[in-house]
Parts: sequence; C-alpha cells; structure tokens
Amino acid sequence: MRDDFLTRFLVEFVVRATVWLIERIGSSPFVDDVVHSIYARLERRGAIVAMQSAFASLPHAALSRVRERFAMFSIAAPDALDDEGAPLLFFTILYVARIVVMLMFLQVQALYMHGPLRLQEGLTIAIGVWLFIIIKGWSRLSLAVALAAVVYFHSKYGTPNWLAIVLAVATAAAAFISIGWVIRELCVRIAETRGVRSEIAIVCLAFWSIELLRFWIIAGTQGTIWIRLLGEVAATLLAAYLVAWRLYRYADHQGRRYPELYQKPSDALLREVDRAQARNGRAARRRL
Amino acid sequence: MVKNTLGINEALILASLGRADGQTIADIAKHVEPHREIYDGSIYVALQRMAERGYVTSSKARVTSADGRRRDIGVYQITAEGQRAIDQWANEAAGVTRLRLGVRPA
Repeated sequence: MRDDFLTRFLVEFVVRATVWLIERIGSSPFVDDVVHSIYARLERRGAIVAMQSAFASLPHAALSRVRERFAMFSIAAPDALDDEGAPLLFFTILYVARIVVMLMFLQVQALYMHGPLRLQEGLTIAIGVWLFIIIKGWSRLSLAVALAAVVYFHSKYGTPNWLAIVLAVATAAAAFISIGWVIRELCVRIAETRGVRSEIAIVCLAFWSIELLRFWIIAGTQGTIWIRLLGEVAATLLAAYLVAWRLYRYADHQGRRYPELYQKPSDALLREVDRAQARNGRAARRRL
Repeated sequence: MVKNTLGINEALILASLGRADGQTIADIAKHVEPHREIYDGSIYVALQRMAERGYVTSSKARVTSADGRRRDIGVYQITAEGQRAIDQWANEAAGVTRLRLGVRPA
C-alpha cells in the first residue's frame, strides 16, 4: 500500500472508527488496556499495523463485554477468548444472523412465492469474504476462485440448463479444494497457539458442506421454488444443529475445565523420559 | 514439575515480562512484535488467563494515551510461578531443538 498522506489519513480514520467501536462494545478494563496499546502502535509502527490490531481486537472486545455481563462466562470463559475461541463465537453469531435472515426470507417468499434470495446470497458471500480475510496464502486464492464461480453462475444463469449444472460441479470442486486448505490452515494455526482442538476444522467442514449443498441445489433447480425452499430449510436446520452442537461442546468444555484439551504427558512419564535420557547420556559417555 | 499449558503467545508474553518488571500491553506488543504477529486483544486475553493461573499479577496506572486521553491501564508483572512455567517451556523447546538437530542432551 502506498505510504502517501491520503492513504495514511484514510487508514488512521479507519483505526479511529474501529477504536470508537471497541470503546462502545468492550468492557472498560479491556478498552483502556487495548486502546492505549493500539494508539501506541499507531505512533510506533504506522497505521496499517494498528488497523490490523484494532480489527483483530474487535471480537475480543465483544467477548470481554459478554464475560463482564454474564456470571457464567466470567467464571469459565477466559479460554474462549483466545485466538481460536473468538472466530468460533463469530461462526456462531454469523449462523444466528443467517437463521434470522432465513426466517425473514421465508416470510417474504411465502408472500410472493418467487424471487431471488439476493440478501441471503449476499450474506453467504460476506461470510466467505470474512473467511477469506482471516485465512492466508493459497487458501485465499482457492476461496476466491470458488466465490467468483458462485457469483458468476448465479448472475449469468438464472434458468436451469446443463451449463448451470456443470458450473455448479466446477464450483463444488473449487470449494472442496478450498475446504482442504481452510482445514489445513486452521489446524496449523490452532496447533501453533493452543494445541490440538479439532472442532474448528469440523465446523469449517460442516459450514462449507452446507453452503455447497445449498449452492448445488439452487444451481441445479433454478426456478423450482419448492425444492429451493427445501434446500434453504435443510441448510438452515443443519446450521441450527451446528450452532447447538457447538454451544453444547462449548458448555461441556467449560464444565470440565478443559482437561481433554491439554493432553500433556504426566509428571511420572516425564520423569521416566528424564531417566531414560540420563541413561542414554551415560551410555554415550562410556562409548566415548 | 509445573504442569505446563502455555501456548506460544503466552510463552512470548511471559518471556517479555521476564525481561523487565511492570509492563503494559503496549510494552509487551513492542517486545513480541519482532518475533511473532500478535494483536492487542489477544495479549489482553492471554494475560487474563495467566493471571487466573497465577503466572502474572497486575496493578493499575494512570497514563495519557497518544490520542490525548487519560486511561487507567494494567501494568503486569511475572510471578515466581510464571517464571517457573516459562523456564520449563524454554527447556522443553530446547529439547525439541536438540532432538531436531540430533544433539544428545547434556
């Protein structure tokens, strides 16, 4: 990005707007600590780093307020506020938003019995773009290809024909490639930060599978309103189940205080390893 | 032996706190940045989690931020327990490096 006055002014404006948002949604200790640091970054390293940090701090700000507000969270939620917990909660929030929009559309469709699902498509693409932002490298490219294909055939082929189905299959292939990348990237990120927690990968897989199913149904049956509605309802029910399952797992983790997340070797095993290493060392010295 | 459950962010934060007593999130970010991309919200959360485990303590200080507003921000210190945890983490990391390079333990 160019480092001219206008760019810097615009990025600083975005930082200040994001900080304003953080101040509105975060708890007071979080806001004081984090906003001070964001402004320090702005002075020290320039606006881009401060902007990234401000964006990344937004979900934490929301969760800090949730934690402050609800005793249940304040007792057991700190581990949910880490790098992986925040995106997971975002998934949940996005799915709830999706269900609300879905219900609105069902109302509208019940009235008019036809018409494109433009707002919901927009929301789906927004979720895709959001994933696109949080994921790096080649996975971004494959996601971009998948999204571009989806947007293309949705805009160009509104009626059922063989080309729409071919494009749907091509999109499915591109999306499946992106699933692989998404899962790999997320697993690497999780392994780097907290140790293995495979649910996020499963959530991603389920998310893309549902979207894929939906796109396939829409692309293959354009114009058949009842099948489209059936696809929408099935996808939404699956999404609701996913949210419920994720919340259940979350509550379960809180209740257990995460014993299964930290499968570290026991002290006895570590002592045994130490003894074995000492024996190996003595044997090596004897050989020398 | 301390049961070690430190993530990489937490280890870097403790390492930063071990270098100088009484640091704010801005100070920690400045130390960690050259080694790993880390954001302020993540640092705050990691510090809260480690405070609950007894690895860090905090106090409040009134400072003036770069936007000219005065704020009560947290100043964090590492505890003896936290020092033990980061020492153990560093030893384990060194063990991994030795193993990777094929160097026998001393």
